[in-house]
Amino acid sequence: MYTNYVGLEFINDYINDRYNNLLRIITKSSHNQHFQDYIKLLNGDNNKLDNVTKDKIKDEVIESLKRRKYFPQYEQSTSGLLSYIENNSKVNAKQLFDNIAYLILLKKKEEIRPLCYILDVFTKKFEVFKRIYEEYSGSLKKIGENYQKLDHYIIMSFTMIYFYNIGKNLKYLNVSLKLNDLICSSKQTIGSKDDLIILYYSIILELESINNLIMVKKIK
Amino acid sequence: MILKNIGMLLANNVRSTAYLQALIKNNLFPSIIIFLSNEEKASIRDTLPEFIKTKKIISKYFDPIQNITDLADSYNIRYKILKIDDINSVELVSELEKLNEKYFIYSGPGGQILKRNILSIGKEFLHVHPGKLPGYRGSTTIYYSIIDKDMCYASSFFLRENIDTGPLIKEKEFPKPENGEIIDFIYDPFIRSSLLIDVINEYIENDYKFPMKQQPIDDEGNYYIIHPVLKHIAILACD
Repeated sequence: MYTNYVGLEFINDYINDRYNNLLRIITKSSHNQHFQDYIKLLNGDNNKLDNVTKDKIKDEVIESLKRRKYFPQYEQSTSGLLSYIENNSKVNAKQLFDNIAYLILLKKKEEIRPLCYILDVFTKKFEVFKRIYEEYSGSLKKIGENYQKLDHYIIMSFTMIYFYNIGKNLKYLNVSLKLNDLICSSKQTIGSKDDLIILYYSIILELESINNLIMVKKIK
Repeated sequence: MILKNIGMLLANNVRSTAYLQALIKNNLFPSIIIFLSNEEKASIRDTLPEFIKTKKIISKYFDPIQNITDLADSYNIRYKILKIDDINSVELVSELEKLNEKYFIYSGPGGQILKRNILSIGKEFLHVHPGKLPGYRGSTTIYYSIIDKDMCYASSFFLRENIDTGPLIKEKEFPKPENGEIIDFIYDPFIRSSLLIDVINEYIENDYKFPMKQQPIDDEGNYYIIHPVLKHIAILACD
């Protein structure tokens, strides 16, 4: 609780570390050629991307989500997703977050509000236990013991940071920061191009959110 | 005046010091203090950073290094020291059951919560939370509200099994501090003690009754320990 305060330098170091970690993760992957343009973009204006570029990345994230294997019947609505979860004995966490991410990217704010319940449940799970398991029951209790799949944390982090950007509730930014700390410190290589673009967008949104707070709070 | 039906359940921390000093300053004396202290642990003085031990801080807020038992001795406040670490220990329950006081001002050890075995003995534990309820439940909410609202809040309520969900007694808002670095050790306990005094005064004015209103029980307003980056932003936002 009592984190030592070291001043603005701490935030500057965090921004540089995040940026360097993103570059390291992308460079280490076999898809680094695909990301060359994005890496160049990051070298520009204080890590900020213009809206056209951001839209392009967002479209690529949506395409990545579409390529993945969804639930047997992919849910196109919030209510459909919620009733699917309730009526099933087993839910894969990655597929669940893929579906939530897809909905929050495409649906209106009012339509996705009921998803807060699921995000709050998983926020609590990660904040308390620091683990996201591969599978959960319909009542969102963990099944099995596998919690080491990095792709689960990547899509959850993206969902949280995107949700923060919609509603500005700091608890979602808070959990996304912690998830990205875990992802960036992992020794696992991220082999999937889809995971890499989602992580890239997630970290860009996170850095942008922090920069916005610094600006709004007039921190110098 | 001696608060006949009100005791204090205090751990050895700055919040307990702030509470007791504020009560004494306002001529309000608990009828007993149950003081949880383990001598094997470092003294409270040793854990505090030097910059908060200045005269300016002490005169504006409270003296964080003053010893609870020294203070109680100076004002002839009855106290009992229990050398226990667990707030839910059988020994503490047994001690509390022997006492006549119905209400206990609560400032327990960090990271521990009262469980059913102690909450069901017929006493009420008065807690002051550094956040507006029900919107800001959970941990480090003072930092979240500085970022969100440029304000700090304190809410008083009686403890229940679910965290920060007990019946509300009173809330109060405070400006953010001029120096964000003092939040953990000074400003957070100070604003809580300020509301505590208002609550006790209203209790006396209200014929020794606490006004209460229920709050909704859900996870929506739950916050968790703030990430160091956000904590730095909140502290820097105070300067």
